[in-house]
Amino acid sequence: MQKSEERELIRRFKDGDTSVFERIVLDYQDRIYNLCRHMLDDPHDAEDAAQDVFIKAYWNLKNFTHDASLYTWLYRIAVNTCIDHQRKPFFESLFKWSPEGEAQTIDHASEAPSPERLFASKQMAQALQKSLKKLSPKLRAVIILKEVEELSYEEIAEMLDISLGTVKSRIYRARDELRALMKKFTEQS
Amino acid sequence: MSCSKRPLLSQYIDSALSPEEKHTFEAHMNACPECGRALGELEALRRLFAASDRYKAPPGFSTWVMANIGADTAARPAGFPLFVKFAEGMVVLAMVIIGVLSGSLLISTLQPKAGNGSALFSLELFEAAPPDSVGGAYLAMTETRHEK
Repeated sequence: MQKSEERELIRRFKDGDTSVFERIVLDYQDRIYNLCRHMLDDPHDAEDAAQDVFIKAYWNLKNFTHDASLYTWLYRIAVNTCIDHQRKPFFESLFKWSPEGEAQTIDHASEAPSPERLFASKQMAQALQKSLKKLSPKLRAVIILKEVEELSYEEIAEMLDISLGTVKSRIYRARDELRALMKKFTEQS
Repeated sequence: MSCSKRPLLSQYIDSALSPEEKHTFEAHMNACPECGRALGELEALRRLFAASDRYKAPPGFSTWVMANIGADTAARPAGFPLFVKFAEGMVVLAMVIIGVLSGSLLISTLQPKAGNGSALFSLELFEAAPPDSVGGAYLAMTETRHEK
């Protein structure tokens, strides 16, 4: 979505035409869901969190001031929502269904890998997910924004409202912890 | 012990170092096997992230969001947040008042009445062996024997 188009949609929303919000949802739903899915590692939690993000955005869009871009603003809501979702009450976690895999993924493979390589890469991907889960939510957020969303240090700093130095140090710590955790997982398997 | 220059490695792979810093760090890496090894591991980690799945929102996601917003809007009358805050405040205030009143009522009913206040809390009120108890029956028996 172009910046001018985004401004126009927000203006119309503020003027009372709330139906334009669906356009915003359609435009950002995949990015927000992808972020939530990586942050929470559960499709149902990710869906709940992504829905919460847009509902919060709907109720707060009237106060949006264009200081940040809509995308930065939505990502900030998403990171905070995911951190809140991780603080779920204990009884909710008892009844949580944990599925294996998910159909709604984008296929990256351009050529068919051998079964051995596929197995190894699947194992590594699982080890990465497990390692990510062990990071603190703050470290997980910065590393996902950097590596999955491919954002710059400046964008992450603006999104999370932290200094550039904090972003750099959190990314370093996240990578260092991930490196150690991945080593542990690969040694165990 | 880990190398003190290791924090720069993260910025190095993100191409966030200045040309001079980059040059100095590359010279350091040639002499530091620990940083060289860590670079290989971080690059592998980065490749793993790059190959990780990108997820799409489930079908009908936007419809669900809009339906939820619609339901939420219907449940929220105009001025909802302010009204709710006021109502919440009133409920808390009412609970505090009820608590204070019932507490003071309880204290007043337990308070000794003037005149027999000391008797109420006196140990004399308590009978060591009430007449209906086994002890009371035993005492009655022994007393009648003494009288004889």
